[in-house]
Amino acid sequence: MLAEAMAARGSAGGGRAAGVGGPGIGAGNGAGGGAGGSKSAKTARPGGRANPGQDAGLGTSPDAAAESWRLRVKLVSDPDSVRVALAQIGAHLLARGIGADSASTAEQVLAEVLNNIVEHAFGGRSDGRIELEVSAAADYLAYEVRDNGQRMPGDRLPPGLAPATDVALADLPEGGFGWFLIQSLAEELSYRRDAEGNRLSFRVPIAASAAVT
Amino acid sequence: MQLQMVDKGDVRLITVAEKRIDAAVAIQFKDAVRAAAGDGSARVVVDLSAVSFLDSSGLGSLVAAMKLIGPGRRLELAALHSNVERVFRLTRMDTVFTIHPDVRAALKASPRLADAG
Repeated sequence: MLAEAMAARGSAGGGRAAGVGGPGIGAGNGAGGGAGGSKSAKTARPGGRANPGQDAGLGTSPDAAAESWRLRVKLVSDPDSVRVALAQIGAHLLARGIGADSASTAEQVLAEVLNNIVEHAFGGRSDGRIELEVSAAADYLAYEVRDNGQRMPGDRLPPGLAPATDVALADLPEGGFGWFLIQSLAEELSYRRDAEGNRLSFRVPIAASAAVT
Repeated sequence: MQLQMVDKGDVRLITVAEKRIDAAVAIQFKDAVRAAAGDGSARVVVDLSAVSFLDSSGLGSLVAAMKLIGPGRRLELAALHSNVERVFRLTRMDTVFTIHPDVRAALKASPRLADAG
């Protein structure tokens, strides 16, 4: 029986130039939220906690999912930073009592949104700046994502059509799934282009069963 | 990129040891699956039980890998996490890939494996 390990070195953890250490992250309750946003960007690092003091005591309330909170995250436009940001936000959602299914849906949508910004708004440049804000209502998570990259074609959301699957193998699409997934999983999608750049907002419903876990 | 492969009868079983197949690793993943698939076995099954997250780039890399493994061979997938399965279902790629609930079911689908132990 043949067993063989394949090793192809990933780029994650390699540490890119220019001190791209990962997204800054700031969390807080209600109106005070985000106070640590810009300041913590210097100290945040992948896998680390930017605000350990604020994390202590999270999720102690049984009604955590219904509490009002706001999380701000800054990152640069490269896939590794997207990974780190998604992991930090995911951990925050779970700590806030959001159910695993809802957190997973939210991660899927946000991943596609951020990938599109990295790939299209910044065309693969890794020095673009992305800022996002997550807040919770009783039954949904609200996201706002801003970037200073190129505008969407026609200043509007892409149609998000389903990719063709009833075609020959050679003609199967290898991309174009992202907006379709976003349109399928997110609600209240809205895009605006203003002087500061692109502004995308959307909601992800929180499943009713979330509080039980 | 961590992949392991083993031949079981006419099946080459590729086990993915990565938790995330996303834009950060999609190209490496495609190349690694293509290399691990080789060109001998009749069937190629990819065990995704370790993969808890797959984005549209990861989906695209599996489609691209399937196109590269040669005419007459298709990638089969096994043991998808529920949110990974959802990506295939929503995009209707579950009609393109054969998806097995687990590795055991994937291997059973091969008649010759009765003697392969």
